Amino acid sequence: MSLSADLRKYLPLLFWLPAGALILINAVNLSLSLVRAETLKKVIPFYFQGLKFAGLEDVFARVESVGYYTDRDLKKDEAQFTQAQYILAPVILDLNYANQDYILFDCTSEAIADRKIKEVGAIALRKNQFGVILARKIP
Amino acid sequence: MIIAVYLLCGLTGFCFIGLLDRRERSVDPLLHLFLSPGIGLGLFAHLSFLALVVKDRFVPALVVGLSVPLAVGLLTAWGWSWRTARRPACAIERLERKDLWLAPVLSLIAWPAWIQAALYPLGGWDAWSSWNLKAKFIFLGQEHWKNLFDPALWRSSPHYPLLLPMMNAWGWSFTGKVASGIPMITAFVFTIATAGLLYASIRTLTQRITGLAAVLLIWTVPLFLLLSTSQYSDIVLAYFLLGGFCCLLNGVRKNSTALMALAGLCGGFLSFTKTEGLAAAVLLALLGLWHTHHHRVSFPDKINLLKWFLGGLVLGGVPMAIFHLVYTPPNITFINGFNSATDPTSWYRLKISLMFFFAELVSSKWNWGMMLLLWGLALNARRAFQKGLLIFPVFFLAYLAILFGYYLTNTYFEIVWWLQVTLHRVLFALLPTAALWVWLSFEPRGKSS
Repeated sequence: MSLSADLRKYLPLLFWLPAGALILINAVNLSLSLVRAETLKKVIPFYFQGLKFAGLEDVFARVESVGYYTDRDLKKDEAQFTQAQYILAPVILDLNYANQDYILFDCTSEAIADRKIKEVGAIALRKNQFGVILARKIP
Repeated sequence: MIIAVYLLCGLTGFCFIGLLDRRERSVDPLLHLFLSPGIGLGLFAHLSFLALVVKDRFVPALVVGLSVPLAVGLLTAWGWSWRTARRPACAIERLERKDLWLAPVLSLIAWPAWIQAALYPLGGWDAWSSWNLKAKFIFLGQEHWKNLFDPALWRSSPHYPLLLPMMNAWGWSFTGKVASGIPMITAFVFTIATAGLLYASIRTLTQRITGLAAVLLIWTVPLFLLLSTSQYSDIVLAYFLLGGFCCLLNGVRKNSTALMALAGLCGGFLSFTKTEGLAAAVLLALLGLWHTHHHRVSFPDKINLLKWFLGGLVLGGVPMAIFHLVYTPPNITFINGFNSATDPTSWYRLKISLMFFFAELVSSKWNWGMMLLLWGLALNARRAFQKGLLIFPVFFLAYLAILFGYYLTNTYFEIVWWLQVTLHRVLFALLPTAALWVWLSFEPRGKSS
């Protein structure tokens, strides 16, 4: 048997040894990170930003789309908008609120929301515990 | 209730495969077992989609009313074939004691997978912004379910196919409401089934149990575990791609029509997972034809194998065809950079895409798992590119070429951001199939071909 054939026999070890080491290291790291995550979960409970839009579904029983107005920077708050869309589905949350009969006002203060509601010619129908106001345009 | 829903899927898939394979008994028991949940869920998702198309609304009672008789019918037929053939309708005798090692390994990965899944019960960003959102529109939207294609929902990629949303809507039709447990368990089932399928693929193609190391290597990478339990369609794509390759290689090697039909079916399901899944399915179909054509069997046998392969592909691809012909809206997040004066494409896009790709391969976020696979390929370069395994590199090269072509052409998104949020998921979906390739390349010449 030539030397190269002898060496070739051990070639797979160059794969299996680092593979074994990697599996061990990764398994330990994964366990530690999940234990950390579990501990953190007990301290900080799961929170889904979209839940602040929950509880309005009954009004939307016959509505296909609803306007959405916020004075927040939507680029920074995109997660909240997207989660709100998930919670309210199958109602479409439309940023072009001016075209909609129903509008959700999600503002940094109630005063800003009230001012905007008057501006678009709507009346507030309901406000939930998170300060989200549902208004309907006066025909 | 939720557990019973997934048992029904597994049972239906198991009986379907058993009936398909009742004469040849060519599907190894572990392959049979781990293909069952995916095939079962795929069949029910297709059934639900067809019911949705016919009624133009999702009717949970109809879906349940179709699914349960289908499951009972398949179970009865499977039991009948067992009785008449006077032998188990599954090649269980091929199971060896050493295969029992898979049980503790799967338990070991199931524990962190479950913890990870439970950390985010509503899934990752794309789960609630796209996949589960679509499922909610289908399930609750009544006759307005097609609103999910509304341009206002551009963030959810309305042009994306609906296999995963249909699977979850199917599950909700049993719970009667939008239960967050259904998408979570769907992701968990695919996570574990993909791991089992990778082991079964390596086991059946090499007769070795080294696949246990492949499973441990990949499923201990935290990023892989996170993405597989995030309720994204990428794990479904990974599963059917792996299943397609495994069944194709086995089918040609064993001259088995059942395995070829399953390879085709996996390809069909694959096409309905994501847009890139369609590209993967087309490549799998072409490579299936090529691989079968180069197999040393008689011409009639070749035709027979291809007939079953294409039959499976057509059966699995029907919803995708309907979706594309009837429903798919134009991709509003697409600008053809070659035609656009305002957003023209540039070589910079291709350069940055390739740089991102190579950086991703050596990135520590894969905990060096990707590097190890590349190292394995380098060690076995000659075998990895031999004739029998050539479909792997050809597939990966063509698939990545299509993908980078798309990154280059579509200038709607800023390229760096786009690559940052998508490229790792593309590689994630390829990882189990890449691992299969590397593990097969360790087999002596001829054995793995």
